Amino acid sequence: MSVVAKVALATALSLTSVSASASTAYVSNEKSNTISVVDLDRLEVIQTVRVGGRPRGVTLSKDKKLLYICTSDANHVEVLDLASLKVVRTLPSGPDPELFVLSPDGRRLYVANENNNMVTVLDVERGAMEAEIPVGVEPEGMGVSPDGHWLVNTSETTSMAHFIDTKTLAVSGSVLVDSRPRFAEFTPDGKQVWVSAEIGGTVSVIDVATRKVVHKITFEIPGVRKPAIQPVGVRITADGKTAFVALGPANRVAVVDTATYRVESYLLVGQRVWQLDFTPDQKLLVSTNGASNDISVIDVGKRKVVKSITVGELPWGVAIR
Amino acid sequence: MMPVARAAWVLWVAGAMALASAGAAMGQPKEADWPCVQVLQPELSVGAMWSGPDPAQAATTWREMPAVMVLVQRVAPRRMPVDEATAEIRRFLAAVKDDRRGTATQIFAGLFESLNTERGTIIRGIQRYGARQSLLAERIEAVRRELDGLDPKTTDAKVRERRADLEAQMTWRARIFDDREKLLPLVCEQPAVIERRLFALSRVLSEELDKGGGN
Repeated sequence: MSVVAKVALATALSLTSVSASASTAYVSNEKSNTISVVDLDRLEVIQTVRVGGRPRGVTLSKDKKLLYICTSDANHVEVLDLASLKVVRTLPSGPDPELFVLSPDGRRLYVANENNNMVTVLDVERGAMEAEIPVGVEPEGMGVSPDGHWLVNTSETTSMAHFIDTKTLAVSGSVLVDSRPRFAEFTPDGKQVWVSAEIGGTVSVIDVATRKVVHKITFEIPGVRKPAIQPVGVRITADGKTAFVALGPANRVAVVDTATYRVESYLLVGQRVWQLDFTPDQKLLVSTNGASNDISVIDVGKRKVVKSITVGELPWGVAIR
Repeated sequence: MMPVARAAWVLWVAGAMALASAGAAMGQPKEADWPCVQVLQPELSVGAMWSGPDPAQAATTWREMPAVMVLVQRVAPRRMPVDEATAEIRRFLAAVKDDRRGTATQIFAGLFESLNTERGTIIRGIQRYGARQSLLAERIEAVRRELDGLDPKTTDAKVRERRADLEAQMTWRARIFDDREKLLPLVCEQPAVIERRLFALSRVLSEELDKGGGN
């Protein structure tokens, strides 16, 4: 067999080995105003859907039939039906929605409004705003505990993680973290929340019960200047053992052992890596790379980038079903 | 994409600003002169571009390999589209019989040095551009102050002449200022254009590393 044939065969085999999931990724392209639909079996874009201005945060409905999209410049949330790929509904969100999280029961969307320092609570079924909760300046990251009781919002300028009781819809406490917190992710057991700080260059691990920072993860990559290491998106595997942290213009995703907080590797993905999501079987992780206009597909088990796929301009968020 | 003619003009401006370097009356550019909305990042990081073999040694030896040097000089400049540069790199490496990984690392080292240097030169040029705009704005302001002090209803011929002269200066300088200001967003984009190019070509080299073979 020639070298070329061997390489072709090896590539084909490696593609088959990751294709068992047959998942679809939905990627918001902030500048193109589109959603790229990516077949993670074939590892290619199969459709591009035009949506409202500046789509950023995206998340799936509980039944995974709908995609909610923060169309920031349109000042509302759009609902994309994933069977027809048509926007079937718009929901009020307050001005400039950037990122949101769905309550575990699927009934509420908690939306961060970057411009008016509020978190909007949206009743999805009724399509109505239930409440607006004042938080810190420039709210951004949103995380919800697995039992739905606690909502954590981060405010970029105030550099705090605000704990909101979803029963009373009031802030019950705030924890100071490092500069410009971007994202909040609960561990699957609900005991910790991990908050990334873009300018601070750290991830603060907060104990939910005591509201104390129990550990601060720092990152050091040989050959990368410190200011380029800007943690943004965080995802933790369902078994709670491994965390993945997107490091912005360092173009790397850090792989962290959650037991020791040790960074085990730094995967080179694309430029200005922003948000992350797993496939439902957790075999693959997808990163959005804003400056290189692509996404990278990571084999979670092998901790290796399988492929980078060109999408629209300035890819921001990703949700996978 | 911006039109080719416009892109060429922007490159020319950035280049001209860059070349008017040492000996310039304004001296060394300062961070305060950075006129762009983009965050000033004076240097690129090797580690943000490359996870292949350590390029430290290749950084000192790539010029000693004539074929690598010729390739780097051909594919680094922005006038060659990224797709063409990609194809050239792949063709070049396909023909390498021994030590493909080493050769790819040499090419990376060469591209990093060339493009990082070019980017640095452009950044210093943009800083000078910013400094000149500040200076121009100050001069316009000085002319305006002088004009404000001269009575517009004067019958004194000398004063009227001075007013006419100042008004002409003001119009001319304001026009230059505005024209430069309009160009700024495109000029400011150039460091990122180079960064994207380097990342794209580095990724091609990484893919070639992973293909193995050639050894």
